[in-house]
Amino acid sequence: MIGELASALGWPTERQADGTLINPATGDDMTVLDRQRSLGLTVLSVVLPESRLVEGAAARGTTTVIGKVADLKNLAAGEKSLLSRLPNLGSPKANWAQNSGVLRQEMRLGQPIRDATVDSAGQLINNTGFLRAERNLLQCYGWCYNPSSTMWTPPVGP
Amino acid sequence: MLRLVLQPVIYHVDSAGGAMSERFPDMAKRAFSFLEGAGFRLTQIDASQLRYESVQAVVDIVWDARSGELEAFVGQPSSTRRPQDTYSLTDVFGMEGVPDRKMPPQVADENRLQPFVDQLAGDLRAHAQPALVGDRMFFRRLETFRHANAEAFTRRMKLQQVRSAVEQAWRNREFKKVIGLYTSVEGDLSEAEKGKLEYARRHQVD
Repeated sequence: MIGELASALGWPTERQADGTLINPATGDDMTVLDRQRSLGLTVLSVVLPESRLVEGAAARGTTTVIGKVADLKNLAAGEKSLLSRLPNLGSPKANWAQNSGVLRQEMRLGQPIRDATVDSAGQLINNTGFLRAERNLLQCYGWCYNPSSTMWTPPVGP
Repeated sequence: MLRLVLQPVIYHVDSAGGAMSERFPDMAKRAFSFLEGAGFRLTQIDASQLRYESVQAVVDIVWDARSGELEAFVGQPSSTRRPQDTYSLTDVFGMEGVPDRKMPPQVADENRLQPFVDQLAGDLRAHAQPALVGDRMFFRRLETFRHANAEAFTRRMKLQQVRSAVEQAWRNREFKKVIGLYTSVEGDLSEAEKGKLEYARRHQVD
């Protein structure tokens, strides 16, 4: 049941020897098994945080876009920014921790990420603030930027 | 008999200039009011951005509350109005060689923002006059400067990636791979790297 649901949502799953389902890309536990022994019932509940639902959407073909806030205002159909998942936590340190975490989630999906803050030739501009840090993060994890497509692509395996 | 009566006291605390409770849009509106005397009108205002437009130019003042980054952008009026058609004041500083202005200020606390907004307005006035009057040559120079900078950044990024891949290939004595990687960035190699490329060419095994 969980496997079917995860599959419908576009999540990759892998069943472990102990019966739990994990996401092989993230190692996250996909199920919470709550045995209601007193009632003699076994209730299987699925953890559905919002980020996972967005991940599911991404896996089904939504392109993630990074860039300065002004450049993320008019995205094409099938594109999404990370902004809706980045509420202001009150300090740049906490905001960056949140921002980098959400970006890492997207990176784990292994889908190309578009950079919207580019000049007419596709070169990366306005390399300051959190955008600079996001680009550094992508680069540190071996992602490559292509000015022709304005896409960051994940590293290919050996 | 002495009776002590405690009366409630209301203290009115004013900060210097009354800026403590002022929000970014109000501060920016006041600091950039000189634009309205120079033919600009305020066409957009919200919690994080103000836009001024004239017949010759547009000015955006942007504050990102999450990172605290504060920046002004100048551009020519255009029908497409893509944000990338505007140039940051940081780009203007870079082109004009203004020292110590390589990055915009980052001020996350709105209560401390006022002096930085004032400074930004002063900087725009002092360093971007040609942009404010729509000097096309100034914008062309800005475009050339920004493009050259962006290209150099992309090249540096690629070079870094090549260097880390070569390190691995060199350790494994995969000289064919080293040659392929280094050749893609040959123009940017250091003398030592050129020597390594030469060595790999002499020792590659097909």
